This record gives sequence, structure tokens and C-alpha cells, in this order.
Amino acid sequence: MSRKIRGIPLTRLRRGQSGRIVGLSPSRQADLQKLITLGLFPGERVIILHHKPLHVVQVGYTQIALDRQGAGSIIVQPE
Amino acid sequence: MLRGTKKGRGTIVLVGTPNVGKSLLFNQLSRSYAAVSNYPGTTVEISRGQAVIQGRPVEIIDTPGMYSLLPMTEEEAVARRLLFKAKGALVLHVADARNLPRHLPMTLQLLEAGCRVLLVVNMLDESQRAGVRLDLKGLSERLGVPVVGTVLLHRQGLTDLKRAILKELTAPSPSPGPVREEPYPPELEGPLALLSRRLAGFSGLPPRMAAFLLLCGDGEMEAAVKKADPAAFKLAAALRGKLQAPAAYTGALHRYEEARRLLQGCFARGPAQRGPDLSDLLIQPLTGLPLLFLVVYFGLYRFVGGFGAGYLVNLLESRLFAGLLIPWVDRLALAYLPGELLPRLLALEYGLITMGLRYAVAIVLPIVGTFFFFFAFLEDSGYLPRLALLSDRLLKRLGLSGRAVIPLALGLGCGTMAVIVTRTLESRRERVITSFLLALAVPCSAQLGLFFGILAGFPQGLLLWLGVVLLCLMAAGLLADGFLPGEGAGFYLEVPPLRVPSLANIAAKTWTRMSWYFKEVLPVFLSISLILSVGHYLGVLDWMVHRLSPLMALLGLPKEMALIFFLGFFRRDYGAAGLFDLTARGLLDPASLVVAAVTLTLFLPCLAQMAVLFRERGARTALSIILLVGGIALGAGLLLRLIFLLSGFPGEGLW
Repeated sequence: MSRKIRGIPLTRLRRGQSGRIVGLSPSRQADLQKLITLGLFPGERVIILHHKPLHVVQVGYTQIALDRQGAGSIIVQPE
Repeated sequence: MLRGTKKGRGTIVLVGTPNVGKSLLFNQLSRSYAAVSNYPGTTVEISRGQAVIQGRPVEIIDTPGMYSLLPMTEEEAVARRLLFKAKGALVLHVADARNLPRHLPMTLQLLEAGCRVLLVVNMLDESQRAGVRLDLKGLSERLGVPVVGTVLLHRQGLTDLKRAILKELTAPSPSPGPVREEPYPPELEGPLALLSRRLAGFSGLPPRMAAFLLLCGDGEMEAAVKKADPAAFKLAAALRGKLQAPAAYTGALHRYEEARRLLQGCFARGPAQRGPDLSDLLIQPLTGLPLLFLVVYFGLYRFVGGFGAGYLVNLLESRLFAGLLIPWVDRLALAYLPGELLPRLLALEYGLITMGLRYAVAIVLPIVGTFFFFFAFLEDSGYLPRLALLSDRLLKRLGLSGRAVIPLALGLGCGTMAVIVTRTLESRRERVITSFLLALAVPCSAQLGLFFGILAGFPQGLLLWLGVVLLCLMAAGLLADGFLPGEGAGFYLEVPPLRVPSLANIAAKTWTRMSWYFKEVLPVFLSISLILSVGHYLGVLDWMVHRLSPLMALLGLPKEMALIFFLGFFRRDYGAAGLFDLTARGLLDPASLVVAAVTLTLFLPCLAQMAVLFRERGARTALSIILLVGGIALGAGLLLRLIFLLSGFPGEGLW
């Protein structure tokens, strides 16, 4: 749904780097809903806090842990 | 005119995303207690309570956490069903102040569903510390619903909230209530208009809301419409097929933008701030694993094992029961009760008081109580989600995700409770694997405490027991992942901030769980001792012990152990308590003790856990789990015995 937008998956952001979400491309529709309910919307600014042992991302004041598949489906524009 | 006068009083429903303080509010408004912790998904069932708000009786309902009105897990579906049914109720939407932009879309959705909403903006202290600026009055005006700010943990804002609730409940009502009609993007508006015309008056929901759910492909709505109006169902499917993006996504995105617009001028984030904190140390394997070891060592081994199973059990068991109560009860029973059976029922070897009550009060309760205290501390501190993060990789190998660590860890307290908590897991596959592991290789706190106590003087044995059980856990998980169809679980989890637990809440939670547990175990313990004393009287016990003795001999165990396996089937802790007795009588050498401990740990779950297993997983799955567990337990015991025989370990002199 957002393949036209250029960006990189969240997994490729450096630790401590921030980016703006430009698209979500999960493999299943249920995962899309999950990302939305966690507040990971296009337009939100995220900071990557950890890549190990899992990806931990901060959006607003919330920290969310995601596995590789989940984090990989979030497309961001690095800032 | 009073509001909600159908039953002569009002009803309040608490909703909100997980971990925002719904249960805390429930406890503060009503006189009942719902478990409160610092991890998402504490409430898996609906709690109802009574409250008196400024002299007015009110029914109050707590619901499991819900991220939106489109449910993803079973417990969210439960919450929504209740919400849609509770017509005329006042819905208290509890939201986290710092994260209002994320919570407000659900407020909007509740208004679209025709609910009467009061927005509770909680955790104002945390938002203030973060430098968030809020204008709740302005927000209330824009939304058209009352908004109250609170710090529920410190009972701040509670009076204002009660006043606002009372005002809402007694206000003359604009019936049927203002339904918010969100102007969605054109792509959705067309289909929504078409569908909502057909769904007028359907299911009691506003037609636009019903149409939106149908367009999202919501399972329950689809099922209802398919039955009542097949043409509308087909129309919805056709309209859905033409959408560019899923309706749930477009809708959510729109509500989110709308929330952002509404919050403009009412909500400003503070400067982003974040340095390395304890959180980092807890989740990095390099530091996280040693810290986990410390938590387990001090929490489980020293506190539950040493203090609970050692000191407290000794105090109650040796001093109170063996030293005072039992000789007295025995004497009285023999002196005043006629016949042979009657004194046996109450006193002597298997009596109601001398065995049933003693096991429950003196051996099991102190251990379970200390475990629940420890676990409540972990829950409220926010450690468990971090443990989930740390263990996700490992658990993925077993076909689970990090989320499963919460039921698994709770299983170290009480397996029965833990099987119920598997509801927070997303897929059936995950729930089955977790239930299987809980039945097989997760000893409950009573077993754990007693084995720690029994094996304390024999460190090699303790390590061996731990090692073998962990090995079985891993092997069973790997096998389950390999053989069960379906794909592995994904992991996503909100990580709440670390918080200093409140002693009052820990105490309240420990107390609630202990009373739940006690109510559960006492009748079982008493019936078992009744069965045993009658069985002993009739000679059935001796016969059974005799029949099982070849198996015990094969395991290298004394024939008295047969009885303990039998006891363990009723309750694991009861079996472990029996083992405690046998060891105290010096009937077991170190090698047999390890074999017995391993086999008993792996052996069938107790009756209560089995009953819950049947209820939650269904008969077929439950039976397969039970057969597997029995086979694996005996197999592992035999193998261990064989290894001991061949290697000569651990010898006699070590004890």
C-alpha cells in the first residue's frame, strides 16, 4: 500500500538514530492492525533504542519491542 | 430524571489499552479487588463490582485491555462484546497522559459506537515529569465529553472523577446520545453510506459503526449480518474488494489524524530525553542474564526456597503442627472417638487435620504465599516485559515468543493460574505449546520450594535436577515446534517504564491470590486425606502400593514412593509435600532423591491444572498432552536411574 514511498526498513536504522515512518508493509493484514494499535503510524517520528536482543523503538513516550519481521515491515525515512 | 434508571442505578464500564490503570481504578472505586500489575494483559477476565459514589450505588465493570474496537485477541473480543451490550452505561475510557495522541483515536471510536464516554487522563505525574503540557479543559470542550486528569497510583483526582461520574449519571440524557460521525476519506465514505442504509437499527449499534466494522471484515459482525441480511453481506464483500487499502487501516489513519488535530494546542510533548537506564542493563544478554540469575537466586532460591520453604515451613510444620497440634489431636481423637475408622478420619497418618490441613497450611501455603509476594514485586516493577524481550530469541526456538515467558514464569507459582493466563497469547499454537510445557517441565512453587529445601544439602543433586528438567523443557519445546503445524509467533510488546512497586498493592495482590489458591486447594487436600484414610482402612492403599512397587523398583525408589506419585496426581504440591515427609524419615538416598524429584517434577500436572487444561484447550489436546507428559516423565526417570547405575554417581557417602 505504500511501496511508492522511498525509505528503508527500521532494522537498518543505526542505534540512536531517528526517522519518520513513511509506510507499513507487513506480510499479513493482522500485523498491520497490530502496528497501528501500537501507535506506529505513517508520519510518526521514531527513535531506535536497541537492535539486540530485539528491536526496541520509541514512539512518543512509548517503547515498543519488535522482532525482526515486525521491525522490518516498518519503512522509515532516516533523519 | 436519573440516568440509567433501568435497574435503579448506573453502570460504569472501564475500557482502555492494556496497562493504563483500569484495574487500579476499579479497585479504588469499588470494594472488590482486581489484579493490578505493571505489564500489559493482567486482566484476562471481566470483573464486576459494586461501588458507592457519593451515596449512590453503581455497578462497575472492569474489562481486559483493548487497543481498538477491532479485536485481535480473545480477551479483546470479550471486552468488546461486553461494551456493545452495556447500553446506557457510562464508559470510562482510561488513557495514559503522555501518550494521548495514541489513545484518543479509541475515544473517537467509542463515540462513533454511540457510547457515553468520560475520558480519564491518567498518570499525570509521569507526563509532567516528561515535560508534557496538557489542557484538559480545552480538550473536553473540543471533544464534547468530560475529561478528568488523575494520578490513580497516588489516588489523586479521584474526588474530581467521582464528582464527574455522578454528574454524568444524574444528568438529563440526550437520548439516544450523540453519535460522532467521523467524516472519513471519500474512498470509505461511499461504501459506508451504501452499507449503513441497509444496516439501520441492526445489532443496536449506530448504522455507520456497524457498516465500518463490516467493511473491515470484522468476524462477529460478518457472522451476524450474514445470517440476518445475506444481500448486505455480499454487498460488503464486493465493496471491500474495491478498496485500495484495508478499511481498518484507512479508518485508523483517519482517526489518528483527527486526534492529532483535536490535540493541537491541548497537548505538547516535552523535550525528548532518554539516557541509558537500568532498562538497558536488563535486556542486554551480557548484563541481563547475570541479573536474571540474581533475580532467580535471591527471589526464588533464597526468598521462596530459603525463607518460605525453609524458615516458615519449619516454624509452622515442626513447631506448630508436629510439636503442638498433632499430638494433641491424636490423643483427643483416640480418647473420644469411637470405633477404628472415625479417629483415622480426623487424626493419625492420613487424617483431615493431621494430614489435609497440615499439608495445606503448614507446608504449601507459606511457600505459595512467598512466591506470590515475589511475583507481585516483579509484576509491578515492570521487569516481566523486559524478561520477555530477553528471552524472545530462545523461546522462538520452542515455537513461542517472548510473551510466553509471563505464563511460564507464573507457572513457577501455580500452573493452574498460568494455564488461564495463556489467553494473552495470540495464536492457538502458542497457547498449546505453553500449556504443554507448563504441564511437563514447570514445577509449581510448592514443588520448587520443597525440592530446594530437600536438595539444599546436596548441591550436585540440586544442579542435576535443575539441569535435567531444563533439558526436558527445551527438548519438549523443540519437538512441539517441529511437529505442530502452523508458523511461529511474532513478537511485539509495549515495554512499560520501570516503576518502584507500591507495597500496598503487592500485599493486596498477594493476599487475593493466596485466598484464591487456598479456596482452591483446601477442599482438594481435605478430600484427598479422606480418600486416603478410607483407602488405608480398607486396604486399597496397600494393594495399590504393592501393584506399583515393580515400577518403583525399576526407578530404584522405595515402594512408599508409589503413594507419592498417586498423591502428586491429585495435587503436585501434595506429592512434593509427601516427598518431604519421606526424606525426613530418611527413606531416600541421594540418587533416588534426584530420580524422584525429576520424575515428580515432570509427572502429570495436578487435578486442578488438568481440569483447566481440558476447559481451555479442549479434550483432545488435553489428553494428548497428559499422555505425552506421563510417558516423558517415566522415560526420563528410568534413563536417569540407568545412568546412575552405570556411572555409580552420586554414591552413598555424599549425603
